[in-house]
Amino acid sequence: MKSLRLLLAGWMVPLLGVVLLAVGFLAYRTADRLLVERQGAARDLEALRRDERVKERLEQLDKELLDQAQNLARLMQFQLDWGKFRFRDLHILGMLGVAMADKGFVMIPGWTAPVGRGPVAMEFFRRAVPEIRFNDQELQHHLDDIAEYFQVDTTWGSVFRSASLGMEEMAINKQAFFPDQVLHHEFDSTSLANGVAVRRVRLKAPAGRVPFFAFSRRGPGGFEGRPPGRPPAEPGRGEPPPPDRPRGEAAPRSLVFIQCAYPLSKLEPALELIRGEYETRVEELESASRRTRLALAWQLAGLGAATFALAIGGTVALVGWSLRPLQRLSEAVSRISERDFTLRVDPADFPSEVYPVCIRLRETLVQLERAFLREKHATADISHELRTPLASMLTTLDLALRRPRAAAEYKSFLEDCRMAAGHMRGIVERLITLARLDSGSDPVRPQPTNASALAEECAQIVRPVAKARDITLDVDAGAPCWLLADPDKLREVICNLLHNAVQYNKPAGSIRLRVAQGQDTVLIEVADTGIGIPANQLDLIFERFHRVDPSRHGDGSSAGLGLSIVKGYVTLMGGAIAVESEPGRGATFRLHLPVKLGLENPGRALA
Amino acid sequence: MRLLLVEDHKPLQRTLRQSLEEEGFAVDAADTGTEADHKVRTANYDVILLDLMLPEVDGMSLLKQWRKDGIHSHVIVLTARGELDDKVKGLDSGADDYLVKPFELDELFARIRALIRRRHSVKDPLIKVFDLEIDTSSRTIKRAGTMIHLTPREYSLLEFLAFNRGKVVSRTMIWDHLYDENDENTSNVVDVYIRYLRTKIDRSFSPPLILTRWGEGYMLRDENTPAEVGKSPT
Repeated sequence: MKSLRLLLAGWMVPLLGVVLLAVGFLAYRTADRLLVERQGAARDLEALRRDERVKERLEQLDKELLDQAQNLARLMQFQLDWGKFRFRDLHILGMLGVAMADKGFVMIPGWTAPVGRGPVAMEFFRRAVPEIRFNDQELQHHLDDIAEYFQVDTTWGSVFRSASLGMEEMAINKQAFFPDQVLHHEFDSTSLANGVAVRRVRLKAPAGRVPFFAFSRRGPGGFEGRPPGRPPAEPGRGEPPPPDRPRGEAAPRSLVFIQCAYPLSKLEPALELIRGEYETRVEELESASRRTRLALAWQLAGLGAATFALAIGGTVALVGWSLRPLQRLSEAVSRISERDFTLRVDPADFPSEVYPVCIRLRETLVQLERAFLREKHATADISHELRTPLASMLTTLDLALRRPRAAAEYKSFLEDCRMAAGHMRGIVERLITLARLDSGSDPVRPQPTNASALAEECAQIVRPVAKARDITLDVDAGAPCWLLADPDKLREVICNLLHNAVQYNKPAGSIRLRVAQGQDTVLIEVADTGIGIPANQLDLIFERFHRVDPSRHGDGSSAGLGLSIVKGYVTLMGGAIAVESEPGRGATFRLHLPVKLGLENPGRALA
Repeated sequence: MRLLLVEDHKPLQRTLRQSLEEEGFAVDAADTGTEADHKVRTANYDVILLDLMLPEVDGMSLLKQWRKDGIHSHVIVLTARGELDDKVKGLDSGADDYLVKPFELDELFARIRALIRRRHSVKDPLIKVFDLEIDTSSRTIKRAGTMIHLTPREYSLLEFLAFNRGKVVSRTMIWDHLYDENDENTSNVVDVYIRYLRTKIDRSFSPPLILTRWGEGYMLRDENTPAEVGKSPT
């Protein structure tokens, strides 16, 4: 037997478990996704920062490279200025100085001399000083040791390369490099011929003195290689080329191209540092989110377990609470006994779910009690009906045996016993008939039967009994009435009715047996002029052991079973029986039988 | 002892009546409740054997009504209803005993005898009067140790006298208890039986136990009865 409580709890536990797991999983997944998103955003931010720092670093490098290039350009310019100054005053000496002083300073014969003389001087210097030389010391000072590599080209063919370049050359197409610009620079990343990846700036600048603010930013004071006492060159002091001066052919010819390059591999440690910082940050972020995720999982599990426990407890309590009415009902039912069929509860006290059960139970109990009483009465009646003749027989036998008697006396006793036994046999046979009807083991054997002839036959059987009581029995059965019926049962029915009519008749009464053919039924009617049946008993006379008059009429042959059997047989044959009576004047039983045997279910034969 | 047998089952009534009469009881019979009621109210029965299922008025109602009306005859309910409920109900309605059909005749007789003893407040089934012993259970008598054979009617007369010993019982009382409704009531029948009894128990023994009270009736001598009274001539 399954406990409803256990069953409910047993279903609730896994159901709740599944729901909680699903909810927990969803919550965890959502939170996890948010975490991942946040982490991703933070990482992106970090990456952005890293990239910016790298970019900054590169830009800084670019700027430094540019600064360097510009410094180089300025250096050259000063030299040229200085050279111009010298040339103008000391032509020969200057030339000699240029020729001699390959260690003192670089003589770059720039040219910004006044119009007219310039081209000649320029040409001279170009030819006389084919090499650009920088003083190493100055270079050291001005280049701040940034550019590993640099190369200076000029429009007139002079080239200077840093020592680090060795035999390498940084190629530049002087004609194609922004031909319509005088001052320009450009950054690029490239690799040298020996395979070193470098960041490079290429600067194109006029070789002469050009009033260009970028050159004056640091001022000429930084140029220590100039002779002492000489005032620094100022932008406005010489003869600057007028700003609106159209670009003549002189300008393109007197240009320098400076390339400064820095190997990217030397920048790598700094970048590596930045990347390392980034990695650390990301690591921190990840471990933080791992911790958050773990905490979340624990919280969810704790919450789930608490909810689970609460829900299970609640379910058990609720189920117990809701089963209490059933328990009350069960207690009330257990108080029912064969002596007391009353359900001692008020259905109104019960919830609407149990209320119908209560009502139905109560109705069932009423029916059960009725059936029980009927059964009890039937048992009592059967025992009474059987015990009385048995008592009569036993008493007779006891009496006969008490002392020796005359033969005639014994004969009389034996006759009494025979009578009692016959009476008992009659009752037993009736009981068996009823039992067969109940169990449906008494099949109908239909065959064409002439009801008129059968009625006549029955009348012949009963007539002597009727005559003994001075009762006349008339049969009104003219034409043959054929029907499909079990003749044995029909005979039993008619005889029973006739016997009843005789038994309950008044002395010198009369009985009329009528048979008539109807539409598709045959009517058999038994009317007597007897004591009749009170109106309140009309429904009861077909019940077993029911007798209108409890008297046994002396011989006790009637046990109140005859009409039960009549009713059972008639129902079995698909017919119907009705009775009407006027108490004191007689009773009429009307029997309607179908011409074709009704296919009545034998099991339902007896009501 | 006079009984009323109320039984509507004719064969049983006939047989029972014969059995009881052969046992020496005076038996009246009734078929219906009404007839029984009528008879109970006109005669004084020692024991009534009452069937419960009766035409007209059922036995239980009769019994209740009799008890209500002060009729104290002992009642044995004879019925085919053997359920405990029925027994309890029967006894509670005023029955003295209850016997379920079918029953043994001997048991019925024993119960009747027990009720008769109870009616006369006697517990011991053996009644002793001087040297006369009356065994009410085996219905035998001895005088001075000698077994004496009596017919049932003679025995019944002696038993009745013995139950009322020391008291005078009138001829009518004797008649009422010893004879049923069908017997012809001739006044000297009782005297005839008294004479038979005296012949059997008093003639060859002393002292004489059956005394005659002129104009009143007879009585059985008791130990307390004065000797001179006992010596009255028969």
